[in-house]
Amino acid sequence: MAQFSLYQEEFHPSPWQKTWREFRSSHIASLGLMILLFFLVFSLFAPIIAPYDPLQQNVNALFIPPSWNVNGTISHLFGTDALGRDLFSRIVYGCRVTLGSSILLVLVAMVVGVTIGTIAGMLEGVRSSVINHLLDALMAIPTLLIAIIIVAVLGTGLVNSMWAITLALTPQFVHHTRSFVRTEMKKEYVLASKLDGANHLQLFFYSILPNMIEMLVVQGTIALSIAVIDISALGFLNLGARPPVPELGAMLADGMDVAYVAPWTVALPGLTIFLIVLAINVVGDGLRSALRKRLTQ
Amino acid sequence: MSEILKVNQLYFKHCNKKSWLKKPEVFELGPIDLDVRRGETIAIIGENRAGKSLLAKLLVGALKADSGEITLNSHFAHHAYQPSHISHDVRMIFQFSGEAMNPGLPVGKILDEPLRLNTKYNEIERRKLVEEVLIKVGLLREHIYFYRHMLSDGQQQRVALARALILQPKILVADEPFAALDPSVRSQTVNLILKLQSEMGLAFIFISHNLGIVRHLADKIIVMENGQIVESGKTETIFRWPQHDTTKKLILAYQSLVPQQTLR
Repeated sequence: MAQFSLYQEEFHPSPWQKTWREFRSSHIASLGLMILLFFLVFSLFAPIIAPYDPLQQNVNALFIPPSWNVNGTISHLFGTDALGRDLFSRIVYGCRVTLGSSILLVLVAMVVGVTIGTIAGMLEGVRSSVINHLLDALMAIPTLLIAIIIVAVLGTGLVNSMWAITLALTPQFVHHTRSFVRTEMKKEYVLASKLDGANHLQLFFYSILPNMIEMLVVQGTIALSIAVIDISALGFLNLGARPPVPELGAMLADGMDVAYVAPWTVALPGLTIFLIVLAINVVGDGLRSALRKRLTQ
Repeated sequence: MSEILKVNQLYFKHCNKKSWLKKPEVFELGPIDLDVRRGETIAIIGENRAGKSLLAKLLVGALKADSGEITLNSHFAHHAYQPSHISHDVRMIFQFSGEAMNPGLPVGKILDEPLRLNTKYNEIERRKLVEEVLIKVGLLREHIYFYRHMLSDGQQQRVALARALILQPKILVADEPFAALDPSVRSQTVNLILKLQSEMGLAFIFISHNLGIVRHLADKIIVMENGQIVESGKTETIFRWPQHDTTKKLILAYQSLVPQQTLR
């Protein structure tokens, strides 16, 4: 059986190709990914896509309804707000601020959380416990409340609110990583790697991390949807991004004053936030089941 | 026949403290003396909880002994020897070879790991060695891309064997390597090990409850009970003239299952 190599030409998909195939077989997940990609393109290429400067005010074009309305014009696709700013441009830039900063802060929280969690998981005894519960006090309070407290201390602003949410999201990563690393360290394949002479760092990167991706994806998407909601909530409460900054939550708050005159100034940013969060959750769910299928079939 | 492993007064104490109110359960292993020669096959038999797996783990260095010494290849090595040392010359096959395979890595990466950590080969040479060892244990080159869940139990066992063999060890320690296999795959694996043993001059220490295989494979048998070696000797001697009560029980149980092979 061994001297023939009949199947040398066969295509062997890499793990990621397999995951991608599984992912694409779910239509809802693919749709979610398309929506998410759409918003990602918005946030990456905002200056190219947006037809107007999001901050430019135009006194001659106040409260123009969206283009599908009878009174709307095609030059302002989503209409204009109370100061005559083009709503479409503001939403495109708003995606950049809200989604972009959320992704950034989730990445920071993930790296910090996984590092602390791994150290806690590999250590034993009191030291592990101390490191594990270092940030536990933050878990007792809802994310938004911590953010409000931090903003109250440091002052309002987008960057401060980002720090606040990062800090609030980190403990979850610490806990999940630690319990995951603990259970994996007891398994025999880790012992086998240890007998191969792997030190703790090699053990983590080569043995445990490949199995941890599924958990990270799940936790990452949960954290990302929380981050988007929190950033826009803080913006809405005037604690996060300051009003001229085109942030979706802040835009929502701006529109509230004129909601009866110009309902689109509230509805469209709100719909954008809703779609972003929905897409993130759908993609996360699809990715999780795809990753699970990859290893179990 | 030269000695390659000598175990001298190996002792290990396992203290299981379940709660501070209960009396802790203490399990003592040893002191154990053992000689392993080149190309020799030693079987460890005994009842459950006799300390067989523990002894195997001590031999490969997965656990640290409390006292005593393990001398490897006539150059002195204490129980706390360097990890690099151990992984080269004494390799282990685990009881559940499926669990000893990383579910998130393909077979190629799993087999690459011991090479990457212990040798100075570059990537192309390592890849070649991995392919060679896969063919040696009767798998195909294509299995490099396979994950754990795609392989059957017998194939997983072969991967575990390949992983143990890839560093060209002198001693192979196996913890019930044949327990989970069906009879035909089991005999294939047994024959494979016999073949490799004659090719590479391996010493093979294995734990088994299947006395038929023990009789077929082993040169020497060690009978353990409660962490002690109660009897040891040549296979045929032990099978024909068992001395200790435990040995007698085990052998009798085996012979009542196989009525043709009565004592003569």
